[in-house]
Amino acid sequence: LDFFSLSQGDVAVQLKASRSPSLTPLKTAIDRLVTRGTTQGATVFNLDLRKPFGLDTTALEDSLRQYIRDTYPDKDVSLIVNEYEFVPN
Amino acid sequence: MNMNSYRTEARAHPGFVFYLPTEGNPALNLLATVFAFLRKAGALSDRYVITVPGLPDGSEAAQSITPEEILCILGRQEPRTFALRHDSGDLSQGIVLLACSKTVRYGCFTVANQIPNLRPPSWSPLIEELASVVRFAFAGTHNPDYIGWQRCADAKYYKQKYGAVHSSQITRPLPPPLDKFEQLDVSRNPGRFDHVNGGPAFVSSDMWLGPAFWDYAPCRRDEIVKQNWLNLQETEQFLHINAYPEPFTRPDGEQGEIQRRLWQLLFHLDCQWPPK
Repeated sequence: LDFFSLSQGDVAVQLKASRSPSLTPLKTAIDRLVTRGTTQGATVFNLDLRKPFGLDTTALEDSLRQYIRDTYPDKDVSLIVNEYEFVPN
Repeated sequence: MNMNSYRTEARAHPGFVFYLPTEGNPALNLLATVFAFLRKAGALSDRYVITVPGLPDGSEAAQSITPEEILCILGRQEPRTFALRHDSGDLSQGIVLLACSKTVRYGCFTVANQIPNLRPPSWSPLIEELASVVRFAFAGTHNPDYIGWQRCADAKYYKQKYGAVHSSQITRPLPPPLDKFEQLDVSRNPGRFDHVNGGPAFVSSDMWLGPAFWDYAPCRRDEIVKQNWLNLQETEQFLHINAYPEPFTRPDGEQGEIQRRLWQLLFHLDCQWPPK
């Protein structure tokens, strides 16, 4: 399994995912971040996206950006992508 | 690809934004009106995932419940913030109320639908119904691809999707070691989101100005009403401005000039494209 996580401050979602992580929990994480007020006052919110090295998440990132753009049009997302070498236990 | 070569996708706004003062718990009225409208249009889902800070079980766990159950929760909780979402594959219908923020003292209510079979023919009748149930400030619709371009502050993503950036736009606002990540200053873009006197500020081809707009806007109603280049509709609840036949898709040319005139007229602010 690959680990994939999205976080801002103390709010994080970590997924044990296949090679194509699902969008749904990421959208829920965004909804929680925004309704908690974590992003209050900021038009740009910075999300740390941590993914296994080599996992192509371009389509996922585009869908996530489109969800944010449609649902939270006064906000923009800045994704800081960190890739790491996944070592199974 | 230079910064003017990007071509906006012809995609109408999947919904609208509606700003209002949040005193007096308008959430229930707003949502009941939206549910009734969507039901009549055949665009209401039978279940939504609800995210409300501080649900009774102490968690913020997302729960999938019916519209009727949602209205019960909102009636009990009186939240100033909630998010509802129905997913169909990778697409969603979202209904969100966000409390006022540090910079904008008005709540932001958004209805956005990406799901083709849950799309009403027009959002304008709903905006005008909402205007009759709450005292609102400002509402508008957009082409989402255009505002995505205009409000994109992620420099790396901007270069990939939209083209070159002007060096004067680049900022590094994060503390070390994250100061290597570049963000763009979009504060002069025609399609930006801004704030004036604690109220929301943006321009779009269709805008509705409500009674609370005049509490913060620097312009006067009579200044707007005498503009013969705008199509205006005045009612007791709102002043509807139609400034262009379709949602803006360009920050330059004729559309750029109209957006500039709107910024100056409504907010006494300016815009600039391309960035210098």
